[in-house]
Amino acid sequence: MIEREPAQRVLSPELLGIDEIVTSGEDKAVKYGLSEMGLLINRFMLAGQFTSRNDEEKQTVVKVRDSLNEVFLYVGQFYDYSLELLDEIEEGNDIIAIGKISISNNQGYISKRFYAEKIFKVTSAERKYAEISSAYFLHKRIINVSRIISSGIRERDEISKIMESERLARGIEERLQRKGSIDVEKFRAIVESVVAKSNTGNRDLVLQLIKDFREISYEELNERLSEKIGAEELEKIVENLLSEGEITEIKSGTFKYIP
Amino acid sequence: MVYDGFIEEYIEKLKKTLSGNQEALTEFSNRVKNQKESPISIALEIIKKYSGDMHTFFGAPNLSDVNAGYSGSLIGKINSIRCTDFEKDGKKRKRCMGYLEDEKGKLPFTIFDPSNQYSKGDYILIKDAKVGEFNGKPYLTLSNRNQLMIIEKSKNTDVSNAKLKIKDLKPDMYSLSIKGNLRVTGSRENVGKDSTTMFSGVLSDDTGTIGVRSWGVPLNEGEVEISNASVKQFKERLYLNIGKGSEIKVISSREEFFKNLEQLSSYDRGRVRGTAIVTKIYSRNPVVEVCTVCGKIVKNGRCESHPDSIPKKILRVSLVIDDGTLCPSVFVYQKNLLSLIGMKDEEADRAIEKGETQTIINALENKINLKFIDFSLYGFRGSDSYYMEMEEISVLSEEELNRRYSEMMEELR
Repeated sequence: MIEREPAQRVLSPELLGIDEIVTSGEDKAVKYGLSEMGLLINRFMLAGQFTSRNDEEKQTVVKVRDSLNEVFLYVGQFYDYSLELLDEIEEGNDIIAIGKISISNNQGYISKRFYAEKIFKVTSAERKYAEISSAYFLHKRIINVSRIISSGIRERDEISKIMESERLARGIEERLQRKGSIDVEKFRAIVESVVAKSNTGNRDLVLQLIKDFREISYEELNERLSEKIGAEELEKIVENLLSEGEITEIKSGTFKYIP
Repeated sequence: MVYDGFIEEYIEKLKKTLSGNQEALTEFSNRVKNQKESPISIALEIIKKYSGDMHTFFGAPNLSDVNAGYSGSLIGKINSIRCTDFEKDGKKRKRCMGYLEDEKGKLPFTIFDPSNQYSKGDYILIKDAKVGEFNGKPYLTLSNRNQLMIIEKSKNTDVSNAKLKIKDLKPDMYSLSIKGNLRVTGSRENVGKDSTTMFSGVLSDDTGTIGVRSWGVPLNEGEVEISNASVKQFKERLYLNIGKGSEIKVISSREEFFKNLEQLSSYDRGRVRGTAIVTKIYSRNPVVEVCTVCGKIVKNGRCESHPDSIPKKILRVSLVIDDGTLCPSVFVYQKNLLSLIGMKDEEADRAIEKGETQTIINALENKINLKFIDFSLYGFRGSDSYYMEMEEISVLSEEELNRRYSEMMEELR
């Protein structure tokens, strides 16, 4: 029996950068895209914002943007729901898409398409959690792949102990065999970029809100932003804005923008 | 610096060792005159440079020719050495046991209360050796009264007192102690000339990872402290080498819970605690009958083990969950289902009785479908598939999602 493939938590650059095909199972029935980080992707989970929908002839294509890139998702043969549900999603909505990759090799040219299985509206907190989980998953893989490369470990069983996963080990081994090495620095920069964008995004949001009011209490800030920013993070952002001189604490727990 | 007659003695010995090679003798004399290095070091360098025989220079036999009763000089490299403290007559003493080795043979030795710190790889000269016998073979017993001299210090590094991390490990370190997380990868029998079982594994700490080769010493998974190990290099790759004198202390064995669903699925049974997303709810036949005595699902209205008990109808649905490593179906029973939607048992019993379970299923779908959940489940390999049963399940609240987001961001920064 073919096992249901898990949806790999990915960021758009890793998904878009898939450049190899790996097959497995009886009659090589399961096809995976192999990412530059050595991740075998059959199904994937991408968190971002719904940017647009285009109903072409017999085919609906939606665009989803995470912090870094836009991904085209074809809504067709693998889609779980009725298209009416898709109508409920509007531009700018936070969404999570679970999809499947269709990949083929035509005379050395890799052609790939991403098909949506599910696209569903989520809260801002869910989208942010899902996206940062993908970045975190990538970050952990970067650490472990760096270890594998520096220690010279190349055997599958040893790789799988380090990666704590047979599936991840298979991908890393394939990548190392095919390409000789893995450019972890490229992906380190991607993680840094996600973190930087997330930092500035939330900081700007808090600053804008403080600017909008003559003065605003911490409780009110928290109340208005609780769906988007956690209490601990909000506290840190406010502390940073204070130390940067952007805002001042006019009385205990109440802040004002310094023009 | 004034050298008494022994320079002439060295020159004589060098003449003999290097078959009167004039160029070598001139080089020795010139370098000695510079007085920048010790004459013995110069002599040793020159013997090496001109391919002379150390045994001839020091008047020491090859170790393969040494028998019990031999008395005189011996030279060789310390091939292995292990020191232990012991107490005798209320006094603390030290004993180092090892092998002396040259190109042709080796000789076991014990040094009591050594005055020097000897290391594996040290090239030593013993001027007044008296070879005894142990188990019918030549054996050398030495003490601090013997004239032992380190001719050349080992390039190997004794790191017995250092607190090392994996990133610090270098080839030829020995006597090292290191802590880390050990994972076992396998074993091979009858390896090497001693037909030992070689156990292999991977040791990781927060600075790196290194392969482990253990010769005859079984490996245990978990957080461990390994002592008396050495570092070997093979084809550009470093290994932690564990031998008979090494010790592996397990600080904490592998956790009770597997880290993810994929890990669980490669074992026959176990538990996983993790976070996943619910991608589907199968609710076609949400009512099953269970035995009120043993709690097992009954078929045809009777429990095989407790035929007299009256079965009870309860709710059970299958959820497809995905933690990024596996996407299995998991059974969730009434107790967990009701806790998710905040319903009481009596209400569920009434709904089952009336055949109105769809309301419960709808409430469940609204609550958990396409939501992130924290779960704890038990799984085991059945005769035809892997069976998983939810033990605990809760939907992640907005507050919890924000908290975890901040935590991950903090680590990523």
